[in-house]
Amino acid sequence: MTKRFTLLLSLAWILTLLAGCNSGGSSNTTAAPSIPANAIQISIVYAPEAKDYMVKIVQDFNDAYARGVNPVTGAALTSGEKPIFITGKSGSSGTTMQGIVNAFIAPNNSNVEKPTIFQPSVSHWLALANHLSGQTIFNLSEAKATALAPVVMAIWESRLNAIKKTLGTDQIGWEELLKVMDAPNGWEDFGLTNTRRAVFYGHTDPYVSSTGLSTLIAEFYASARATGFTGRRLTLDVVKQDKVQAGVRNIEQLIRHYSTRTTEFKNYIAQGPDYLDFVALEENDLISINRGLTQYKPPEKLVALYLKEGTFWHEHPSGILNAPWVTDEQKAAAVVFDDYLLKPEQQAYIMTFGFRPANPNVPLGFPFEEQYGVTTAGPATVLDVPDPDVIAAIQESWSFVKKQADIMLLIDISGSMQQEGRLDQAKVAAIAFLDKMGSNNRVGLTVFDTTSQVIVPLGELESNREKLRAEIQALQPQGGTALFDATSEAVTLMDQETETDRIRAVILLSDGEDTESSKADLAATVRAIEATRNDLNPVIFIPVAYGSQADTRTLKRLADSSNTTLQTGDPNNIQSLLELLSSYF
Amino acid sequence: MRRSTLVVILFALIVGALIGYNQYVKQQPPMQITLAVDPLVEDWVRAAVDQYNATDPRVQNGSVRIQYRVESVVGDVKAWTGQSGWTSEKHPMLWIPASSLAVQYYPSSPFQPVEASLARTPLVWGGFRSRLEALSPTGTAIDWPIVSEALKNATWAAVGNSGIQGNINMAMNDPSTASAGLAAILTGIAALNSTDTITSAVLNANPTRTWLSSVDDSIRGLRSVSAAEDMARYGASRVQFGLLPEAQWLTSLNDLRRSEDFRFSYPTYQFILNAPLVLWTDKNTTDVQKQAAAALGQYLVGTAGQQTVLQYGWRPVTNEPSESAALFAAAVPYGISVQPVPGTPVLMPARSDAEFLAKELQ
Repeated sequence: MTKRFTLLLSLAWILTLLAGCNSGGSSNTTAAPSIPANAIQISIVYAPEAKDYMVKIVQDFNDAYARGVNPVTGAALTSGEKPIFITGKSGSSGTTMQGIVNAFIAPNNSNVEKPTIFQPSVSHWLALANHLSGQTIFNLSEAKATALAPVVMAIWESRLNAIKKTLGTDQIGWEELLKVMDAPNGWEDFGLTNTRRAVFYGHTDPYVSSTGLSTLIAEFYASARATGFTGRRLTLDVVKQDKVQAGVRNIEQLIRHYSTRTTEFKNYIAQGPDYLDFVALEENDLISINRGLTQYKPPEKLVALYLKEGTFWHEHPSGILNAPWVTDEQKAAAVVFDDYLLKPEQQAYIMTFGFRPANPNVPLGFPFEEQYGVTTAGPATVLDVPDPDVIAAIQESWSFVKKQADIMLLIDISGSMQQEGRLDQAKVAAIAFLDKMGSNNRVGLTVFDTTSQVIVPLGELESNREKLRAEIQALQPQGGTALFDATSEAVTLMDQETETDRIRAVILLSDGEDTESSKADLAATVRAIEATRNDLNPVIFIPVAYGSQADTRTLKRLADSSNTTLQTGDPNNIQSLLELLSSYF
Repeated sequence: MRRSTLVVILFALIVGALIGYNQYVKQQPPMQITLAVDPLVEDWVRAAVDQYNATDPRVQNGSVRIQYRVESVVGDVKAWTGQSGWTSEKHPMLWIPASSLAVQYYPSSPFQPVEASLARTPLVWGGFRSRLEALSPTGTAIDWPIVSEALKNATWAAVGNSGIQGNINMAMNDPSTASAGLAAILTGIAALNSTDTITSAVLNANPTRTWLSSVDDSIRGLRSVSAAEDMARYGASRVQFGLLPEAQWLTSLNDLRRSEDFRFSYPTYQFILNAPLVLWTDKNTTDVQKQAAAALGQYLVGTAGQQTVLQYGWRPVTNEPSESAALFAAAVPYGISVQPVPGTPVLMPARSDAEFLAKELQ
């Protein structure tokens, strides 16, 4: 008996140990979500800014069904009630919209998307998808708002107060912002003497960014109203009027540069008023900047300017597709997900990320506080969404109403660029940069090794593109690095030779320290860059530190002198970096 | 065996049989009775149906258990214009549209009435106070004449000197899908022509056409099943006033008032949505289904069902809401009345005219 008892006890002890090990082991691993048997599988593509909250919401939704619970009602699944499993990913609204359209009209295109639900930032994209495809992919009136964020001008409080005080009004819109640009001495005439005179504004690309598209539409409305348009909604006739386009072109003169990504602007403007005066953002982005959640803590408060002429609500509509790949069962499942998203608990969670709740039963709370630069009331005036053909026309007009650019590519071809295939990759990247640029821009090419040389003078890309490609392809590494001479010459040349109503930029790509300059040093180069800073259209200098041996300290100093940010790249990412920089113009 | 013992045994057997039978019935899966509802009635019908299901309803002398299920939500106008997808092979058993108009307009209607009305809600004007004051500086309650005049302009700048920016936007349920929206348009046409009878001639007259264009313009892109919720969601920035069912206003009033003071008034030409219950009846309809329909109808017009109606802002079938009904009591200070609904009822046009109008406003 004693032996048997001892054996049993030992066995029990071993089993207990094993059980403990198993549970300890499983707590250290993250199980991939498993799809419940018989689940209705659906997918969603949501706007990038929704990623902060959607990942958890999707996971919680799936977890509930995995436990056999309906996440909307909280009740156990009834017999016959199928679980739902949703996969989600973020995607730029414009690119995803085009991917969905391609699924209908160009299924062999490399960009094809076939989700169950498309949740862009704003319903413009749903309307555009219907228009471009010629089909009712989305029932617009049934697309539920899931999170609200008005488009605002994020402007430094000091700037806004200066405008209000100088003009004697609290009603600020494009009309008032343009008065700063038209003032002979810019900000100086508005009482701001310790800053540059020029106005620096930024907005994103209206082809891929919801904020960019809404902003451009709003600019068209402002211009139309200023020219006497009293209609409710922009029409094709109005959008095509020369005087209206001239008005938009005038607003775009305030631009410092563009970008495809709001993230770029968030990080730029968070560095302070020297970098940008105001930028079009969704309200939630402004809140996150003021909360110090970006890379930089802003030196003063950014406030949300709800332009008096009007703005748009970005409502993150849930567009359930009418598509051959979406069954009725999946549509019904998508509605269940919508209902879950609109539950007060989910809406309160979304609100913590700076979005106003789409469920009106959820009262506004943190972070909608004055300290974060917003008002609880939000925008007083909202613009009517134009018909999709008008939206498309506004998009198409951007290439000729936007501020065109003069860009000097300044490429280091010193001997060290031979290492790691740096120059070869730089050539590929430079050509990719050119390919992304609009034909109305002017681009030149200067290279430097022991000396610097303008290989291709500044010229319109329409006629310059092939010559630039050929010269870039022909570049060979050699000699030393006359970084300071090349930079100061290029910046001075741009300042002297280019028109002042275009973005003026020098993009430097360098992998090493200066070894050869004879005419300029760091201080002189900084002075050359800073000399344009007090112009009403300063030259923008953007250095790219290329490779591990690049002189990042010096390049950062040069970036600081131009109020830009040092970009860093290597042969693996230089192409995507230059493509991003091309979106600035 | 003694007689008394026999009686006891018999009694026990009978009770046992009854309990056993009851248990047997309870274990049988209930018969599913499906409903289609208009979005306007969805919330209170779901709540009422859930409450009734919880009572374990039975028909055929208790031998058949019934469970009711809201299977589909379809706008009235979509249903009677053939967009519901209902066929003789595939259809809901019961239908609760927002208005009996939908049943009258349904082609070759297979629906038989179960209850003529389960609840009522009239159309009511509502708006943010600052905008109502801009529309009517004298303080007269807004109605179609004031609104129609304002809608000739696109912007608030053209209406008085309020300093309000932006377009004049009006809330309405979608007239191409909802009885409430279509009825709102018809009350406007009635007011424009000072008649309660909408005929083809009235619909096609030039003043009506012009008016329709300006109204359509102000509601296009903003028409919604949940128009009052949208106003609460966005405040006055997007939509400033509207003509909506009273029940929609009442359930959203707290949220509407969060951004600004709100006011209500009743239109001169009125349409009351009456939410009937009808049964799809054909050669396949069984007695059990008819009894199940009748049972649900009786529950919904009974005390418990009518309580639910009030909780969602609808008026009971046979009497006006009492002043203690929570949603109504909260709204009285803002212009809602618990008295009989005022106004001249608008007579609905011929089906063909209504269909033409609905399609034009798509």
